Amino acid sequence: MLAYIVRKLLLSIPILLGIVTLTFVLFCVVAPDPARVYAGKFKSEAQLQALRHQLGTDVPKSRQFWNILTFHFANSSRYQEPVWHLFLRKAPISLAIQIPAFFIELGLQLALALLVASRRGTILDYGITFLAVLGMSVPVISLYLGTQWIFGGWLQWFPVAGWSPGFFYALHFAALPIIVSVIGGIGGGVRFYRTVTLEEINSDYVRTARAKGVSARDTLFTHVFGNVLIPVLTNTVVVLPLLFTGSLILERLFQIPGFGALLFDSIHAQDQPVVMFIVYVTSILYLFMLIVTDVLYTLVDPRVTLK
Amino acid sequence: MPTPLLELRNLSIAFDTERGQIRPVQGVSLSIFPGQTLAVVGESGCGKSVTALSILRLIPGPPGRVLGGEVLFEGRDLLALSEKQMRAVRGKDIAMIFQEPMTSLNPVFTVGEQIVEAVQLHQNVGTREAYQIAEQAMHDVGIADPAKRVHEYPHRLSGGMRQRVMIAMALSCQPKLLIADEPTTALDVTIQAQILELLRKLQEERGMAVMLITHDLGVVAENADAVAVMYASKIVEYAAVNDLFDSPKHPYTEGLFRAIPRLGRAGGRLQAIAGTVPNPRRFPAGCKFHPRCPRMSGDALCAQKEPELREIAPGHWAACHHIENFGQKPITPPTSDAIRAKAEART
Amino acid sequence: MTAALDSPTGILRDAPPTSIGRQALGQLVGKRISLASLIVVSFYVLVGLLSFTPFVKDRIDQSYSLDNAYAPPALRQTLADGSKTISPAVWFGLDFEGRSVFWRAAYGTRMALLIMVCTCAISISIGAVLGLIAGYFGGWVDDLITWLYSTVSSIPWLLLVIALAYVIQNIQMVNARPAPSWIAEFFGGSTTVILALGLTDWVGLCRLIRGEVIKLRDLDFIVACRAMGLSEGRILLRHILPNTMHIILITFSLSSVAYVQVETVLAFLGLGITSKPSWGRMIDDSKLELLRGVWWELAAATVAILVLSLALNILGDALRDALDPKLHGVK
Repeated sequence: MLAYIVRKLLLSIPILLGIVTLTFVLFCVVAPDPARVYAGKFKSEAQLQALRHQLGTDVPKSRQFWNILTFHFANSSRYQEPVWHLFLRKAPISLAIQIPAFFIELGLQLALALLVASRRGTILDYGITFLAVLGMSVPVISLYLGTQWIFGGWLQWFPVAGWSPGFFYALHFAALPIIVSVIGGIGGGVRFYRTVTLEEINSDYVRTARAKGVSARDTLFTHVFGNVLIPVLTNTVVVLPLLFTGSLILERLFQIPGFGALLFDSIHAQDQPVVMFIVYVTSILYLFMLIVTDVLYTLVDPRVTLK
Repeated sequence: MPTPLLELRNLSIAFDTERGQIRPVQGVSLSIFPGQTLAVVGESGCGKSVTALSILRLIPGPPGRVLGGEVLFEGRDLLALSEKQMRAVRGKDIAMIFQEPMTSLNPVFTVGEQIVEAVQLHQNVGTREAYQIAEQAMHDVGIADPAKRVHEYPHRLSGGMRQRVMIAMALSCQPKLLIADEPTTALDVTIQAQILELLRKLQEERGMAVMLITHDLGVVAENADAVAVMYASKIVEYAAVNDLFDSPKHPYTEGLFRAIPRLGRAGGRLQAIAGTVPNPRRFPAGCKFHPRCPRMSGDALCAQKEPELREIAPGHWAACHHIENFGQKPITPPTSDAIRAKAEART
Repeated sequence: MTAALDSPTGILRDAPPTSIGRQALGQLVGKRISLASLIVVSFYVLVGLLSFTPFVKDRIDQSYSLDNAYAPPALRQTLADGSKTISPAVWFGLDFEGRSVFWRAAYGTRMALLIMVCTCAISISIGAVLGLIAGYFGGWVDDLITWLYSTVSSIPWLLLVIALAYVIQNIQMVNARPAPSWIAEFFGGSTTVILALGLTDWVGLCRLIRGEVIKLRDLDFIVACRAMGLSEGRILLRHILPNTMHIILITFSLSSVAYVQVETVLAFLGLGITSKPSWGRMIDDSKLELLRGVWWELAAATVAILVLSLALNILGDALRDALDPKLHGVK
């Protein structure tokens, strides 16, 4: 197993280098001088030069490449502190919303998918599938704005936006974002898991189980579900890094000072170090999660052997 | 006159699809007696698998449904049972094995877990005892080292081994009737012979009845006591195996025999049956075989009226309007004389 | 031993032979819901094409209100002399500058179509070409292209699109040279969006086509082509590419939905379409309007996107059911 993991890690080095290269090309080669962009057109050359030094762009390109590779990022132009510190401060806030939303969403998706697949062709099936497609078709921003307006502004059930530390206050502010995030994201999963479940339901082993005398319900929850978990695993582990970045739209609209809001503000403010950091680190984490998924796959699916 | 273990009376099944209704099984009647092997023969699409699945009521609700008829098992109509009662029958009184051992076992559970599931559904035993029963069942079907094998996953076993596991699972609760839907079609020829031999042995030991569905007449000759020939949703001939092979009455059965190559008899072309199996959406009017029938030439009766299954000779039924008019020539059975002698000696 | 041999003419004569395209169209038209979706999409295309004409173009910046203020949806427009006429301009209300939401939403259709078509052109070109080459030639070319798309797909797509749009917009900002006026007029500032989407979304298609080509290249009919003396290029273009068309078609219809949705996100970030109205911009503008109870601009843009996305989703699903043999039986 250890050898397998090591081998996987080694094989992913070219891609790692690819990510470094892509980040480098995008932000250091193709992008215009970040100092100029940040400061605007009306600064003197001396001020620009000082900015460049701060941003680390006054060194030769090869040195910049090396900096990226070794995780040497400049400080945020807006906050004047290392992005890593910003991350540690803001990520927990994002997680406070993303983690509950993730689990609720997954649970609901699986439940609905199983329900609908076992009642294929009925009105329930068509109805829920239609709602799922509807949910996927609504632009996310409209959904957030709309719910804010209706539930926050009009009905006044929840606060429209805002955040405060402290557990119960946070719950109060997090409720609506979590609900809305789940509603927006649930559609795609329901459809996908429904398809997967239907494929498994049509398998021969389900017929064998029924012929043995297993009830329809037990067949679904034991036999089919066991096989459905495998693609579920591939899908979910891979999105875990995104939980940290939070949803930029969600956080900005609901005034939650999380990491997603930071990304949003940095784009508006041309704070390139932050943008670069987020893109780079998220990709590395994502790649890492893909490897974790592969390893978990070998543990969960008996058919897959370490190769 | 012994009572049949399983009796199908006029069973008809329909499938309601978007493009209309099809009837893969129409008016099928047959009986299986305790300890007997009934072979159901026919080409792909003739309705034999659907018939078998509907005995255990495994045809999916929509779009399939029972149009009429009865399925009497030990006198009880299975079609009238509740789902819960039916589950008690499945796997315990009637068991079924399928064609594709590769996909018929759940890949994420060990074979032991799957056999134990069957055992614990129908017998009130703890887990350890269930595993013992499972290992015994695996031993009975000829799997070496069952104590170790019981913890294997299906993909680690060969096709023949998997089919043995299926048989072990089916037989673990001592069913009275085993339905085998083309159990050897997907296996290598040498394994085929082993599996069939195994089934014969188990059947003799347990006095179990077997409904053997196949398209292979050689398998029929060596294993069956009685044969039902199906064509396009109907039974066209029904007889004891020797009677069928000695004098097939229905033109379709005759055609089947003439199309088989025979060892030890040189020369002569294989005669195929002209035409193809009809599409279930568009069965011909009247006798379903009449467009391909070599005997009927433009006969109005065959084109209009479906022939009933009639007892032509004692214990030998056929569905054809013109049987009495045909000259009866005995046809050499498609197996060697030694095997024929063995079949005769068994009955 | 099967007992009866098929006769030489034993093909089930069920239906006349048809090409895949005709089959797909037949299936689409046959079912009511996909037919409805087809009609809806055609309607959008019509509106979009109409919006290229001055008929719509001239009305997007016009003020329809007497005092440049917003107004709720109404049937009649109040003119300068106090009279009221039925005018479509007010049917969806007026935004906070008195402009007609109706005409701007119609114009949004044009932008959406432009984005969808141009982005697909770019991403399909890149994805299909790379997929075909990688799958067919194998070897180091395949390794290189695989490395390329593995790298690009390691970055979460939305993040990549945003980053690319960010960079492209900065380039445009710093670049003093403005584009020729007809380009600016035609694209209406959507080049950022189109490039950001097109240059990033080719990965999925590339993978699928590569997989399909790998399956195809060892099939007997391809070997037969080579035996006949056809050049590799000709085989690729005339024999392999047509067999991947169904993948391209399905991907096209399902991806277009994402493009429209991401445009709204980019608009929200300030990276979207700048000079002309688009649905994303309308939604972004409506952020402030909602505070004053002005809901109609948000509603109009949302409904426009919703209906189009729904229709494209249904159409894409129907196409996939019709064209992808693997999924037959699973809806």
